[in-house]
Amino acid sequence: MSEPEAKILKANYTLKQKAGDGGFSPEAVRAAMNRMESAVDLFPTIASGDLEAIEQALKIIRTGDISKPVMDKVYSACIELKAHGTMFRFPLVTMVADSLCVFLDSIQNMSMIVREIIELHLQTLKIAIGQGPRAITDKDKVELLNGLQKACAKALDASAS
Amino acid sequence: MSYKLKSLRVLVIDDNAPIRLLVRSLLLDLGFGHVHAEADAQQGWECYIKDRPDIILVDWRMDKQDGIEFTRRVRQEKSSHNPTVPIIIMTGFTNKKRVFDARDSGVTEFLIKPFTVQTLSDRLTHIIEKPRDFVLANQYVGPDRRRRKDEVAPTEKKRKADKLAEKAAEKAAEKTPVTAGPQKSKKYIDLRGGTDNKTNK
Repeated sequence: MSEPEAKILKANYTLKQKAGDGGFSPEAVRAAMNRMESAVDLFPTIASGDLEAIEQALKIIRTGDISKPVMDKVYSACIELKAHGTMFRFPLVTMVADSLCVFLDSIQNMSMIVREIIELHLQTLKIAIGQGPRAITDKDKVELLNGLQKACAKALDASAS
Repeated sequence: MSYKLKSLRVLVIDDNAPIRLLVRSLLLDLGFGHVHAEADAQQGWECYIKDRPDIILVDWRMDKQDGIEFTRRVRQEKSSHNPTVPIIIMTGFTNKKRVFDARDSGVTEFLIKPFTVQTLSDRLTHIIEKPRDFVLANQYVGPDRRRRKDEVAPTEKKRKADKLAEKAAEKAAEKTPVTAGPQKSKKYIDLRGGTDNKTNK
């Protein structure tokens, strides 16, 4: 007789036995929420690693290497910036990072125009982070995003033709 | 009454120092007694071997070895002392392919960024309250990827309980004289209170 292909271990309730009942205490949850609120100041430090990753990828792109692993590095850093922007209340960072993600998702042919679009987004991200979450007016935000979208649309047209 | 988490050990692995320290602090705020934070998968592995954590939170995107590779190592390496340890992966990626990749590596839960204290505590509660069977197969080692019936249909369960409570309340109302209004509503509240408490856990 052949051995069974899969073995199932029954669910282990050790954690439940240790933790007991009742869920997290409301005081503990409130304390954690307060900590999260006050963590907004951490965002520039958190984002610096992702900006650095994009800059490093750009250096490689400038040498003519626009391969998938390099673009994946840019994309991953953008995804992180997008998420952390929301977590730490920097909505403009989320919007700009999202704009770059959408562009990278849409582009069919990788050409050097991609480098310009990434540089443009990188500069905008630096401004958005440097100015703080509320320093840029809503009107300026709209203009910035419109500008980025127009540039992306042109680049997509150029790469398609 | 609330959880007693002082004896539980949690390991956090993230190469982004501020996020790593923030998550560690949040877990300590939530009541966990021992929270170790490590900066990369190798240090995380050494801590896992030495400290024997009850729960692991690992970031997906890390240099050298990422969260998925770390998860595979915990699940499959011979020197891994507790391959069934619950692993929560933290990620900003939400597309289907990536989620399936993570699931197939054997992660227990996803903590999708941006996350809040509420989503973090929800994931932890799920791990404590609803542990899953564990599959050891040639192709896959990890939690059973099929959710149990009682996990996927809690609303139906609650609906049934609510219906029963309503019927009982109606019967009680029929039997009770009109002058005994408060008694009727008390019974209704008692029955419903039972189900509500359950969902509030």
